[in-house]
Amino acid sequence: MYHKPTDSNNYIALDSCHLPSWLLNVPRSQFIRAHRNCSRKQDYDLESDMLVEKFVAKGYDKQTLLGTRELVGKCSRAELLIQRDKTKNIHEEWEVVYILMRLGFTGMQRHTEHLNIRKILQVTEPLENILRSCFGPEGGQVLFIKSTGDLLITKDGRRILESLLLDHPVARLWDFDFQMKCKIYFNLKTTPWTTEQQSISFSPWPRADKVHLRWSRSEKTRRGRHRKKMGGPGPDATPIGPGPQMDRPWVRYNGSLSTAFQNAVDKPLMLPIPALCRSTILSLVSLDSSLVLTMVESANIFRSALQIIEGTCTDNRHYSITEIQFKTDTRRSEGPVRKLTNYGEKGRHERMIVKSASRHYDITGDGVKSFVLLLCAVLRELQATADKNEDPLSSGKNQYQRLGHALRRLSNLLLTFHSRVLAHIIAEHLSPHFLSVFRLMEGNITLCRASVQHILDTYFSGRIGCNLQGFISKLACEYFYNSFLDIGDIPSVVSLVNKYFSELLTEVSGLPVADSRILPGLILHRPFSVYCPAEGEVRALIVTEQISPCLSDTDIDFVVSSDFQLQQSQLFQRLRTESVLRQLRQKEVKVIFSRVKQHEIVLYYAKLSGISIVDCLPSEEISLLCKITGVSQMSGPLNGDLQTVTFPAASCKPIVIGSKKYVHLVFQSSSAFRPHSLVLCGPVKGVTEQLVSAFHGAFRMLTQLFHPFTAIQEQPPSNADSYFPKVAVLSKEQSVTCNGCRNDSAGHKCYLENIDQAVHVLGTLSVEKDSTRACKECSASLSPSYRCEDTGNICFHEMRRKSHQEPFIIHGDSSSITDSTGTIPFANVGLVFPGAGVFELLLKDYLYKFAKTCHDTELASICTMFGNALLCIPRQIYKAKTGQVHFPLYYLQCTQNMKPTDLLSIAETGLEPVSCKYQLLASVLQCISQLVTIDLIVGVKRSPCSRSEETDQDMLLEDH
Amino acid sequence: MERVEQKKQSSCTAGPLTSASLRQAVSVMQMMVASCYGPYGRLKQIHNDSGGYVTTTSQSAALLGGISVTHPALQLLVASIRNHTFAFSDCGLFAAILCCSLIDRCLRLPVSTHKVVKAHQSLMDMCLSYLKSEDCACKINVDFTHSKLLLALTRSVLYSKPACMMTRTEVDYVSLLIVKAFLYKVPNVSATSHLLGRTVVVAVEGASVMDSAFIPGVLIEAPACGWSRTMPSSRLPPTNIKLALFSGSLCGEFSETGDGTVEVMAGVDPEKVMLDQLLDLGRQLVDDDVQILLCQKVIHPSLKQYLKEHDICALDRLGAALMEPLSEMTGAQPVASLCPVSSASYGRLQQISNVSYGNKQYLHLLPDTTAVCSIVLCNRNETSLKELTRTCQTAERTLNHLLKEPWLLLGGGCTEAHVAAYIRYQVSSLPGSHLEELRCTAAEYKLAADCFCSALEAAARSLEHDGGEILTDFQDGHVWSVPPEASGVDCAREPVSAIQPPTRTEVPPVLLAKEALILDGFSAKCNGIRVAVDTAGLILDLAYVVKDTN
Repeated sequence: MYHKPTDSNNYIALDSCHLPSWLLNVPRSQFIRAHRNCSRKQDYDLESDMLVEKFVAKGYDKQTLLGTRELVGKCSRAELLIQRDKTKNIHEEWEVVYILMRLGFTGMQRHTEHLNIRKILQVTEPLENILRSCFGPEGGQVLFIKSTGDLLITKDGRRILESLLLDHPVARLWDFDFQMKCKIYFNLKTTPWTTEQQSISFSPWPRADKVHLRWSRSEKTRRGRHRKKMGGPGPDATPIGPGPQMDRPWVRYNGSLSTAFQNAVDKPLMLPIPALCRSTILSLVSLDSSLVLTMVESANIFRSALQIIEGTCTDNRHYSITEIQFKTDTRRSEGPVRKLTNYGEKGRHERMIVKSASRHYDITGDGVKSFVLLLCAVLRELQATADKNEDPLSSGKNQYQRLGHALRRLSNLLLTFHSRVLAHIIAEHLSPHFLSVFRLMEGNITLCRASVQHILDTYFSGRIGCNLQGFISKLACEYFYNSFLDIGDIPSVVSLVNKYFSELLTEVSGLPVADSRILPGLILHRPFSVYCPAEGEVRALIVTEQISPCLSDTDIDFVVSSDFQLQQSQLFQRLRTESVLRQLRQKEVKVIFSRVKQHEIVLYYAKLSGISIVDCLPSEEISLLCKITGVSQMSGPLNGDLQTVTFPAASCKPIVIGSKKYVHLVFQSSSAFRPHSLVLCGPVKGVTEQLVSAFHGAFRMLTQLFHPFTAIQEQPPSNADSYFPKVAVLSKEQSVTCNGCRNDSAGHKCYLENIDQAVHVLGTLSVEKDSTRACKECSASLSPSYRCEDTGNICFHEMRRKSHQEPFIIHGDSSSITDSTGTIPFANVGLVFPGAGVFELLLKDYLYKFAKTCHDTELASICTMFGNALLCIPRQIYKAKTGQVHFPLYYLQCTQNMKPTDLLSIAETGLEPVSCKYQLLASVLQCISQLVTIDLIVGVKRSPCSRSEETDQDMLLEDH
Repeated sequence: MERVEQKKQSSCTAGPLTSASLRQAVSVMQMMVASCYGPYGRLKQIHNDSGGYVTTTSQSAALLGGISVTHPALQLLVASIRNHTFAFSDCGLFAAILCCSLIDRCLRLPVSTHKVVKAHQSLMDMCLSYLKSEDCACKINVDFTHSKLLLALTRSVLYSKPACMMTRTEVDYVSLLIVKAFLYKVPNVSATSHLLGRTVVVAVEGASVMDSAFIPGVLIEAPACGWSRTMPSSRLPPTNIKLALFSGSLCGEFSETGDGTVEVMAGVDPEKVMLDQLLDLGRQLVDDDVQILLCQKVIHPSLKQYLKEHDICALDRLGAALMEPLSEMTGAQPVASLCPVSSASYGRLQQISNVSYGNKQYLHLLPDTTAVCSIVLCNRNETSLKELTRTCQTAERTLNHLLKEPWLLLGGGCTEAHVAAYIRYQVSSLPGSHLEELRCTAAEYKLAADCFCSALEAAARSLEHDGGEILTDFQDGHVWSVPPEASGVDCAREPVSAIQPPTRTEVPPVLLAKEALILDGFSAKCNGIRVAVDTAGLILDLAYVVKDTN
């Protein structure tokens, strides 16, 4: 191996004050380096001999060095050249931390004990407070000032959560790159003589850059200086490293190291809220973030401290820990800090609430605020239960393990509750209360416009300002009705609108909201490059490439060999363009839609040929055009057959919306989807944005509404399960209630009809019809639960019998409907429920009833608890609506009669899709069950994986 | 470095939205805009701390565009007023004053904000539907056969901007120019293909306002030097000129070779090929008897020389902005390539002449059609010239809006006072069903209506700045301004005999005969009211301010 002439033995000396393990690893990695670099064995031997000599000179033990050399020499070189994945090491190192925690740091264990629910609550409650003031129709809006200075007005829960840019891992789950950083300053100062008197000053520090671990052995010569420096009465702790937020309070603990450490772990909660922080809420969150990290980092620190103390005891040399600065770093981590870099764990621990909320929003387009409120309420209930039942949870010798076990059990229970109980109760007991947006009239199914309007009203009342709700909701309903012809197409049409929403929409800022309107056809968001007025029907062509030929292309070079050739080729270009456009004119093409920018020359000839051109169209608009018209895009050169790439349009004209020029295209074809363009105006851009997102959300919600509701069909699995008998018994009870309910609702038909001309199909119809049909077709496919249990079987037959006898549908001829197969496709689609918390109230009631009959005490308590938590939503709504029915009274009325539609007119409560509600409950339960299983949150920064270990160490060597 | 910077948390606060803080911020804003309002409004000088350009103005667009506000609610307000002025140019100050006084008054009401906002929404609908209805007593239908109303409207717009620094005669003169230009560009025949023409404003600094002029056609500013060199030695061509318009470059560069590479072999000179083509083109132009060549981009000197030898006037570097008016005016097709120009692409001009305004030389292209005209605006200094240009554009747009909605509203605060009186009357006899829809009590609705009406009247009152008295006729809805020293009444209309608001009243002919009628544009006023009420509703509805501090 070549060595530079300036090379000298600069390896770190063994008596340098570094961690022993660190020091001992230096030779090994040097051997590895040599092995990698030498392709021949003899070269390695030569090189390693030199290394041994050098290290011996620096005080290393020769025997150990030779052993290491042997060990490295045995490894195959090819293996060493492979870049290693480092995650393996990290797990090992993690175990060290865990072992340390088990070693007897009771303080830390006590901390983890209640970490979960309490801590999650601490994070979620501020969020809840913010969202609560925006909840429901009476809630206010939030003005969000972006970092660019743009304004955005929003009432959308997801937007608010996102705009807060929270940095707690529990709260913040949407931003992956956004890393948790934490910096903790410890200042350990031991007096040279007693290890008992130490002080730790501790401060949470939400920023981290680099790790510094410095300690020096106190020499006798230094001692005097130290004492002088520390001076003063008693040990003096001063914070090191002034950061950007120096005026944050420092909390100082005096006392023995172990108590200090315990205090540091236990007390941070009691830190006064920094004055610097602008709002109490957020500062709490930020305080929390550092707090979570404290445990892990302090474990490390403490470990280092222990080693020092041990060292002090063994070799009788006095160490003075002058300072330990502990920070995390990404790239240049040193020593023990490596242990904090953890790749695998991260994804699991972070991204909880908000990610769940966003996921929920993506499905339903609604309910983020309810999500947070409900989550908080459930957590609070859990906490209350945990406080009450502390004994069964915390008894036993190993509290920590016991707790982990209990929480995991709780999480499982919640999931069981969700899949077995909740789905069942909704399917069995609540379904009689379901209403449908479809109405049956003389055998035909029609969509009830008033119901749709109510659903949209309810939706928009939670999403936009109170003065715009009515108008926008009417607009949305009109748009929805304009888009489809036949109700059979609704699901596909709604999802198409959802998908291409941004293309169907035109935003205008600067006009009042009342100018928003619906235009037939499509608005293409580009002006005409060339416009030649054409009356009547026009034929249009879609192209994706340049029409005019170019001299050269990306993979075609052009060689100019003579002046004449160049002239001729340029002439050819022009003539070719001219002839292409003339050809198009002969084919009666009047408009060309182009994805790319066309040359000036094309525009010139197009103008001469009377062809309009719209170019630079976004590819999404082109694909929407193709989707609507069913033509393919023309990418190759023009050929004779234009049938597949052209389509007729009723008209294609320029239109000015706001101050911008667009192209207004009206189609001729009448396929299932009738494209309509939506123009949304707002006085400010922020308002327009809000309207757009609310509108899009509404269509997401409608997609969910017209998506079959699956919870109804979900039947408990057939394997022997302890819940079954009870459920079956219950359903028998319930069928009686349903029966009564049905009778009652039949009596109240007229009322419903008068109120809003809405005709509601009872949800039971769908359930029972489904089961009836299933029974006829193949009894084997029937849910086995009813067949294995005698009671259940009876109950089922009872229900089936009823289904034939009783009218389920309030309007229309019942006998014809029962047999009509046409209703089947709509059986689970479009189910709605009165809004304003009625759903939650009823569900709570059923949960209570179930809990009373349930034999499993844990499950019963979960039911009660969840039921209590559900109350938060109706309570919130009624708190906002002062002057309405008193809440307890309202609650009683609702649950005792169990006929919400009788009590309150739909006009007052509004309507909400059942599937969204169910999705909300499912999301909350899932989120909680995930949250409670976490016992530790580890904040790390991702370090670039490409960097190999060796280079790190090389750098270190250079440093020292 | 490759590190992702950590984002700071947003600050979430309800602080700026407390009643006290909001009212304080709004009152500052209101003071500023109200003092600018009207013909006697005070001027504002906007300048940067670190020097630079100084604007003297009393126009909302310039004023709100020049300042930066920190209060989040005011940011919202300013943004929406600016958007309004961007679309309508007019009534920005009015909307701002109305919005501010609405917010201020609503915060003082003992009714929940949601109810007030909803009530205001319904009151605004009532007010706008009254203004749009046939019965509206403060609305005048525009008769396009007489220029009298148009002149009065233009005069009101110009007169209400004192920063233009014009005397009464100057105002009359400029408004005459603007109305002339407006009438000129309205097409004579009504057909769908005929669009409204356009006006090009040419601002000239240093000359007197009375030097302003209306000119059909387009003025092309002469470059400082080299004008005479490119001109043919003989005089300008006579009448009925054939013209060619080029949008592509005529510089003779070998470009547009596509994405790939082009290899040029030794001995081949692409530039020469291009120049040959250029000269071929020149020959064709000479053969086709073209007399003037206009090019958006650069013309090759050799081609210029060739054209000059053949007495063709060639003008280059006109810029993209002029291409469209030129094409519309002359009927020429902008040619993009060096290909042989088809005869359909040529356009026609009636005359070309040299003119000079101020100390600048212009080439005046006079077309056959009336599609394009120019207004030369002169004023003594830069600031007032800018203000004058802005004001004239406002007046032009207000006139344009008349074509869409041919109504005018009485100005001078009369419309506001009248509408307020109408609303007060209507609210006193409101059917109960309406209240039920809004879910508020009659008393609450009455309070909200009072608040709305007094805000409207406050906007009308802010026209007075000199300590004079404002007399408002609540019965009829009519406003007089009585200057402190004078005894005369300066008002839009003569006191009409007492009327009940719901009864139909004509604007009396005696009023129309009056000389100095103050009028407002209908569309801008309606939109101003709407923007003000919407924005006030938005601001009142806010619960939190979240600020991204990154």
